[in-house]
Amino acid sequence: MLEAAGQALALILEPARLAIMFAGVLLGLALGVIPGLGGIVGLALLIPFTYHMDAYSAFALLLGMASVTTVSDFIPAVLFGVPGTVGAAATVLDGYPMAQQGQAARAFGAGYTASLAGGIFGALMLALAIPVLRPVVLYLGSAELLSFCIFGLSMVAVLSGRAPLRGLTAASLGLMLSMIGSDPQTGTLRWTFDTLYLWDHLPLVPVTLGIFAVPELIDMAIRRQGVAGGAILGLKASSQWDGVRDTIRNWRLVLRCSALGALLGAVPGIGSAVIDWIAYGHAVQTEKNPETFGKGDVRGVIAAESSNNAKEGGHLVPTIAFGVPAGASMALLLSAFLMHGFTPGPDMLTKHLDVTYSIIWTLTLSHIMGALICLCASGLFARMALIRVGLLVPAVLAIIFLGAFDGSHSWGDLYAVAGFGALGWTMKQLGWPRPPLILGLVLGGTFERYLFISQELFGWSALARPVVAIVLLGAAWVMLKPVMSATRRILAGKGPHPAGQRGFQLNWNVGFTAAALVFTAIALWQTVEWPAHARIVPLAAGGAALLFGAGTLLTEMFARRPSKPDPVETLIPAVAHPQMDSAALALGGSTVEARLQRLRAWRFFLWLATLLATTLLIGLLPGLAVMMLLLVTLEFGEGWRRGLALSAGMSLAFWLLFDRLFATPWPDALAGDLWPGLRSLTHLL
Amino acid sequence: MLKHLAHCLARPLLLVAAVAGFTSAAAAQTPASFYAGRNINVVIGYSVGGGYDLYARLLARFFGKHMPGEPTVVPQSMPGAGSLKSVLYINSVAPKDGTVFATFGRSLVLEPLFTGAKFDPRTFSWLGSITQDVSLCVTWKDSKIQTWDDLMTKQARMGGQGAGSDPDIFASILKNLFGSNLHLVTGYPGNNDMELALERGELDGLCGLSWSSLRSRHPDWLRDHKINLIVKASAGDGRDGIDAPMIMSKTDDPKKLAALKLIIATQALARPYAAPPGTNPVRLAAMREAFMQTAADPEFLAEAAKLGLDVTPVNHEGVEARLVEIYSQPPDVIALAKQAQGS
Repeated sequence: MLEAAGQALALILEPARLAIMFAGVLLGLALGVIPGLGGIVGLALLIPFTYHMDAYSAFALLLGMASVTTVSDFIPAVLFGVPGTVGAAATVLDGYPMAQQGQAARAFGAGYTASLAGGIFGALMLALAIPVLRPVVLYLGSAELLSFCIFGLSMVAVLSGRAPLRGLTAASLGLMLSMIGSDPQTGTLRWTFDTLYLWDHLPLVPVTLGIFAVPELIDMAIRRQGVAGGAILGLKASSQWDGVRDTIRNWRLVLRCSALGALLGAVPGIGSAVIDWIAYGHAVQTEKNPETFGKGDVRGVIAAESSNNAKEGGHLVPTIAFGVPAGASMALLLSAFLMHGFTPGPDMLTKHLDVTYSIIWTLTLSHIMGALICLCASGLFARMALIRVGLLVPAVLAIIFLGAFDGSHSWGDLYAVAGFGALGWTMKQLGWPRPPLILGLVLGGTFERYLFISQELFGWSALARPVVAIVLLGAAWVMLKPVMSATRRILAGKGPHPAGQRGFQLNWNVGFTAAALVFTAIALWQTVEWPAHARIVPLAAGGAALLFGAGTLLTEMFARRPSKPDPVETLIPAVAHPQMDSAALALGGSTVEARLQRLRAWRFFLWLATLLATTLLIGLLPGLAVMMLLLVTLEFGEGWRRGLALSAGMSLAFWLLFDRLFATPWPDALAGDLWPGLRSLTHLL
Repeated sequence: MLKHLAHCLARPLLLVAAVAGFTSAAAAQTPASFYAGRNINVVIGYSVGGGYDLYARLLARFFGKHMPGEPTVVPQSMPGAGSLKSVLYINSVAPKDGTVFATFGRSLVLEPLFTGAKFDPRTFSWLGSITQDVSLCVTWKDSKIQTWDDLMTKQARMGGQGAGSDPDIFASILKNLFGSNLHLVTGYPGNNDMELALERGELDGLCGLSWSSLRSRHPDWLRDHKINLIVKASAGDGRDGIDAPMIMSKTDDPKKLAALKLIIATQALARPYAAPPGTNPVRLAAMREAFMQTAADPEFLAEAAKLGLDVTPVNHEGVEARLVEIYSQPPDVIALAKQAQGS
């Protein structure tokens, strides 16, 4: 075994292969930075070029690329609050506030080091687990998968911060959103409103970008200040080393979160979109002084990034040992395996052990390369936070729309990113925690599937399976711990809102909660006609949403409040409702008066609507070009010359990348219907 | 890579040139001058990584060099609604100038019959199917279900992926037409997950498993006799070297046979390719020829063999004949088929 490992290392260290891996790493880093793009796009692009390579070089290129997208996805998350891939959403929570406080370099140092440690941990776990891989994976059945889902959902309790009722409402709404589409049992089309788009459930990328990225852009547009808001960025190398030291100091946290990432990564159905949240929640729950999380605590960055990178090693486990890919990118990798004559499965652990080890070495080395490149270049990246807001917002917004459209190449993606952007911004303004919504959305589908399967196969005896029992006890602990400490606080006379007057009141929050309740009620009404199997889980989720929503509504209307300015007046809930959501801080130091804020917010939504309308008329790429030009010149007053330069430059880059290289099927536009000749000529409409 | 980039950059120049004399020139072009420097998009109705995707990407690599003018062939993913989205795209949106064709689920051609979907596969400009397939019911070696008789009488736990998916349709046929006592555990996210469940003994067996993917993905199952092949469904005559009884041999009832035949006919168009209805006839003829030439290209076949993909092509006439046969069935047979497959 050691011999095979040594042989594989020698093969990988050959200069030509190292060079190929380096090229892969560079491409992977570039793809990770662009929101919406990631390993899947890269694999689809690169696999044709590997046909004539030997297997070791091919895997060096492919895995080198795929494994580092999770290193660089961190960069836009910190700089703009825009996660580069769905796996970096939790990083935004602390990374973005750090950048706003001028600590971008420290966040970079900590994040890359944590990524590196996580990546190596994942590879190491894969290496150590080889002898026991198959029995372990075979031991985890449908009941265990269900328990993992429940454990993930239990993190809602931690991720709701001090607004547990709102968190639970958001999570229930997320669960309901996950039920949209064709139901896994009877094929009933639930809440699809006769659209094909909703058949296959809401795609994650547009929703994540809408919920987390768009609100940050809106706030930037309102403040009219770049990310660091005038604060001097800590660009000195020394502060980057501070971050490295932070990670080393928190090595225990790194180990725990890497282990979580690697283990959960190996479980099919628990995607990268939730692993970072689970690790983050774990950090909040187990670390001392958790109240600084969400306000620029470096430990939040470390937890999210180490787990996000460790999962790659975990993802490979079922792919290698059984030929069962844990996700779309692994499915593509599987086809590359086959192309090179390796059938994943038992042979990979015996006959082709050297290939398996070369994969592990590639994972390790590419993470080292990726982290080093990023560390060296982070001064450059950090400077991006200084770009004038009038150019930054239009450009990033265009990238977000393109990234979202890459979700399923549908018109629906564009509506989804705009719609969820509005929802995300409202939630952020009103102090609603957003992570529970995503957790519910991601885990809901898997939860429902395995609930039925596990029930059919095991019934209640599932609870007697040791792993199920242990994981469920863990989930119970996660959920009950905040309740117990809250009870203790109240008993000790330290209630959440000790001072302030009680009384009936109406505000935006009441309105929002009421709207959510009405939506839920209408949605529940529609379940009446569905067959029983298709109805049970949506009914339960909707019932929970009604219950928690009603609780939230009552609290909003009658609870004691500290005598602080009403949110309606300021639109800033940060002080009135301390949240874990990074949300709360974004406008904290702002001096923009409330009226102007509201005006700018409305104008921004109007711009989004204009973009959709223009796209409907002349296609997405031309629509984005027009939107960028108009935003730069009319909204931000940067002048026509700058506007034209930005719009033309970005559009050309988009066209080369998305049209020429990725062959994106663009959405149908009215102009294309009217002039089919133009459509077949440009393929853009 | 460089060649690809050169292609990318050549396009804008061509575009400018093309805009200049677009309308007048287009009609008089030969296929070679039309396709030179152009792209043909292969729209794939499923997300990356699956069987349809694998076949389409392989085809795309070799198709261009058999076309006059050697266009670049670009695979485009357009997943949605079990590939119905790509069918509707071909049916009513895609350009008809010979620059687009698509691949989609084999059973989609039955949709208009069973669900009243608003398209007619007979009007598509068919290129053909790259292969025919055989669908199997298998059980794990340690299961109590070892034979057809076991499957009929004992309670077998068979995996499914939700109503309307291949495994569920096959299992429903066994229940509704043959009175099997099997217990369908449905809702697995995909083939991979079901296969893992089979391997860990959660399920007794699977139906609707394709022979080609079984051979390429789990050669050890066949080599080490880890599974029992219970029954097969094929649109051919059954002489395919697969050691399992044909499902058609299990009944004599002519109406049941007709309904079975209707459902199983789609196995003949296992990886179907079609261009939009009304595609430019001259270019369509060139594409049809290139399609069959690609399927016989030794390099293509060698790559397919590496991936374990079967290639037993059916030309456009073969596909069209099957569709005429399917759509000429009397209503009672269609109703029985619909009921048998559980929709």
